[in-house]
Amino acid sequence: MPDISLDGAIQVTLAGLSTGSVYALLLLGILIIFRVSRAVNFAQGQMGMIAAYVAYAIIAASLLPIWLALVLGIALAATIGLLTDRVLIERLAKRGALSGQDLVVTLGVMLLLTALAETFLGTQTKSFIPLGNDVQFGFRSVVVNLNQVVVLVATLVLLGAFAIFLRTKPGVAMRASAMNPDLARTFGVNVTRVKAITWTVSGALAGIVGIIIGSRLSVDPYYMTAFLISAFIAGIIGGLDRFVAPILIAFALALYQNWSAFIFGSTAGTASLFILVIVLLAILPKKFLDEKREARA
Amino acid sequence: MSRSSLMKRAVVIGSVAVLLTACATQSDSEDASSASGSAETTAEETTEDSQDAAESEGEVAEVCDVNGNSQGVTDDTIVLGSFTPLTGPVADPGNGAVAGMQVVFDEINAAGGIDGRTIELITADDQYDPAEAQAAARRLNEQDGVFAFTGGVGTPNFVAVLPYIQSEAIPAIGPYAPSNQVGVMDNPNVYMIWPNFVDEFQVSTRYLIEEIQPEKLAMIQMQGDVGDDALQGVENALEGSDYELDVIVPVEATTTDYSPMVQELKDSGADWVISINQPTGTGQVIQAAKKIGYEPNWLTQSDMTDGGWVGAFGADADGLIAATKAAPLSSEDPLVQEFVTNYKDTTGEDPTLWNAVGYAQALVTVEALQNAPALTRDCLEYSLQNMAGFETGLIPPVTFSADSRQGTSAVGVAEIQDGTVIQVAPFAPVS
Amino acid sequence: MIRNSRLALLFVPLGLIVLAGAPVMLNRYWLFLVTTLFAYVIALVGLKVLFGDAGQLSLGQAAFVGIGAYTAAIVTDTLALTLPYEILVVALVSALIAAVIAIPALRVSGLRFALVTLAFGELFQWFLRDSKGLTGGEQGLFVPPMLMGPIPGKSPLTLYIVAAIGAIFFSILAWHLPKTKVGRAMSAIRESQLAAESVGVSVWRTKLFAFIFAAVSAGIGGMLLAHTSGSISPTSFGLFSGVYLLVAIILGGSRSTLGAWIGAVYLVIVPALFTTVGLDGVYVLFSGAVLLIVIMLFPAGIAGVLQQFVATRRSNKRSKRREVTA
Repeated sequence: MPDISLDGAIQVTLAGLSTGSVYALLLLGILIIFRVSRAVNFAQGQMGMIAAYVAYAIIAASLLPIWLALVLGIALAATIGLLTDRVLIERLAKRGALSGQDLVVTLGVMLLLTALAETFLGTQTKSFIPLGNDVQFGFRSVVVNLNQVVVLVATLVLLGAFAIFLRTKPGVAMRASAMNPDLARTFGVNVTRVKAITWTVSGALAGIVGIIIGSRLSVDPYYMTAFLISAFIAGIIGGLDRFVAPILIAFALALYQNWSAFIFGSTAGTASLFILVIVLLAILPKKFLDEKREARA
Repeated sequence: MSRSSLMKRAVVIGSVAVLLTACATQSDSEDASSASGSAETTAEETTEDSQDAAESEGEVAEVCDVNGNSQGVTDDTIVLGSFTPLTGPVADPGNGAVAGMQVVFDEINAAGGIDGRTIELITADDQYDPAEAQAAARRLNEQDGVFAFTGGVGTPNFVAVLPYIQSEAIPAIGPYAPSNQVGVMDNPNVYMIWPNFVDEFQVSTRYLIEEIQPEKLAMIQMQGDVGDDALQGVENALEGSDYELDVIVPVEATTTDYSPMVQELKDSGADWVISINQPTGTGQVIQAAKKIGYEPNWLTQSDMTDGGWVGAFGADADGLIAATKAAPLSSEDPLVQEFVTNYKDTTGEDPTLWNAVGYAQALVTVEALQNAPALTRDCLEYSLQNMAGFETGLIPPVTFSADSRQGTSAVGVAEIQDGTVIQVAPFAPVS
Repeated sequence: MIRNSRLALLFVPLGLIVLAGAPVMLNRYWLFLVTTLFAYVIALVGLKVLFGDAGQLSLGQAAFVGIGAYTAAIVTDTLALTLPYEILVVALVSALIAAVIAIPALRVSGLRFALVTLAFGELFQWFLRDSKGLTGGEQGLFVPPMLMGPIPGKSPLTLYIVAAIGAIFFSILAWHLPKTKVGRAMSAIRESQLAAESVGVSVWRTKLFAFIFAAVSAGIGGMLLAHTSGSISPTSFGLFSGVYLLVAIILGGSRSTLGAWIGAVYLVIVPALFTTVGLDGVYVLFSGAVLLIVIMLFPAGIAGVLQQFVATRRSNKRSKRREVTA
């Protein structure tokens, strides 16, 4: 057990909040898709990876200014989200397919995006641009960088905006489309368009997250996997059809991971998360665990 | 003479002729076996010669099986196999080494090959994955029918194939797979030309405490054989000194977020951190530390002397100390410069550490092939075991023997200064 | 059911001929691949029962393969058990661990169940890498050959025969299972757990059976993989491997035993074919796209396509016969 100074404690907590904001953003994209399409998007992480990787390739080749490369990356991720909806998910829905196929389809998209990145962008890990990670300031011996602060603030703002959005007219339209598409249509809601827009926004969100994480670590075809798993854990424990609970759990999860890594060492950090998941699911009373909708094979 | 007696004579002469031929054929085969016997004698004679020369080095193999397995050898080619990462996280080193090997083989082939046979190198991608390496090695040996394994980069992928190599008795020359299981007699078919991490860290840590005299030491250690070897080397060097490792922070091959680790290191207050971690992870650790305002000095394994790594992370790692297994390419040693110029002329590119690794692997392979009494696997191993003081110009002289498979055990020390790798301590045998 | 029999009549004799001829016709490398294929068939059959029949999406099948592999390696090395006892121990260990995991896992279903299996898989990975003394840590273990008394356990032919027997045995089990009471209970649960419960199906017991069956299949498959390859390491049994097993059974057809065979071909033979032709790099793209294409066009997997094909031909024949008699 290492010595815990106050500064160390603050540092670890800040790191936890910083990671938590990234989990929350990633999860937000997954949640809004689940709301409108009742689909679990396994490809969320890789859509972000493609955005960052393509942006990296453009920057490395010095083809365009950095901001434009980033925008293009995000736009690409948004387009992938849109295409997934229009070409794949909608077709499944029309077919009235066995539910649970959305899982497999988005899994397929995830594998395909990984393969494309491996083939055309290479598998070697590459350093991304700092994006404010190198601008540091601090108090006492606690060091904070610009990236962490901006992302945390932006996340909170986005989450707040989304919460408000849900109460506005288009927001209600979105909730209606999710709960009862036919009824929503009779009220004049263009359900197809709502879904398409949601997937596009989710893709853009994924792209933003991919770039943020890329700037903090490095980019390769696989770097988003761990984050996706954590985001899903938060979502599944909190409930994919809810909003406040999973987002809060996302932050809590990040704090838990950082603190247990700090106290027990990094190797224990990974294990502690999964032990927690299993224990939680073993002892939580049944009523918290029943899902509103079963996902089937 | 009457016809019947002529006939009888013909019959007698005929049968005698037949008998003689039969005897001759028999003695031909006897001659054949005694030919191999005489080949054995020749080999013994050569043995005696080199035994005199190599007596100080230890015992030498006495016999080499000229009729042994020679798959992959035809009248005009020798087929060699190399399983190594061509895609995946270690793709750049893997591809770099293959390029270096190919330069050597092309040169030799242009000059007439080995006894008129051209060398053909078949590579198989193992993706740095143990299971893939198994399949790749089997494919090379059983499908492509290679004569021997040469080269290769990466430890876990190579070590997974050790049981197969041993049960098939395939010679494997110079894999860049530092491990305590390679270069030892437990795996007698593998001829190691790279020191392991125990040696590396023993030498570099000793240099650190003797020449630089740090204040406080900490270590960030990748889990696994590689990390254990490194720790062993560090502890060997620290034994009997006033220094000790205050903190050892473990990391895994799968770690992506290093913030908790660097926080722990920062809290330890160490001014020098010893790091054993894969190259990209090492760079990420250095950057993560910077992000929390912690900028210690770093001591790492030799992978960090690679130009590619220095290009990606060197700016943050000025003053980094690393052991060297191959001479830094900035060295003024004439042999090194000859390699650099030669490589650039041939390929048009500046060589990297990994090109040099492959180049050295191929040079040792070619030397062994040229000195083999016959092109069978057993004779190739015999030739390797007789290699004494072979100079590649890039690594210390390579010496094997009948009971040693560790060809070099000298390590140097280098420092990254302003984006260049400079040798600060020459190659010295590991004590 | 009748369709399945048709398919079986077509494939089984063909399969037996191929099986017998393979050791003669194939070189050692391809024999090794086919033996590996049989091992994966067994693991995929388990997933067919758990996912295809009972509808439980598990991401932990690769971890159970790993449990079998490591148990086999340790047991052969330290206890020198002969093959029959080794099989027994591997099956028992797999079943026991599955029963323990079942306590939290079977309380939930759907995505949460998948999450628990994922968590278990990751924990197993951590355990493998952390327990150097027992499991060899990151580097893994070397696996001694099977101990079979006078029979050479190391010979590729022996491995081939043992693996083939295992694959056939488990295939027959899985093929017969849907016709049994517990099999029908599984189908009911797959369609709707709630409905199944209301008609008196013992949901928990049925799910437990499926879960243990899947674990034991995976364990035996892992044991065979361990002996065939001679060395095992943690990377083969992680999350990505678990995902690929799922992809394979979905591609092949999750409700069909034939689907397990097709999935195994996809996992073992197809990449080897690509490499032999020199198109290594293309395989990755191919495997990424093929899942999407198959799912969008053929939701019942390739086996489903074949079944439809056979069924169409039968009904065509029937209608032709009617035309004639009319």
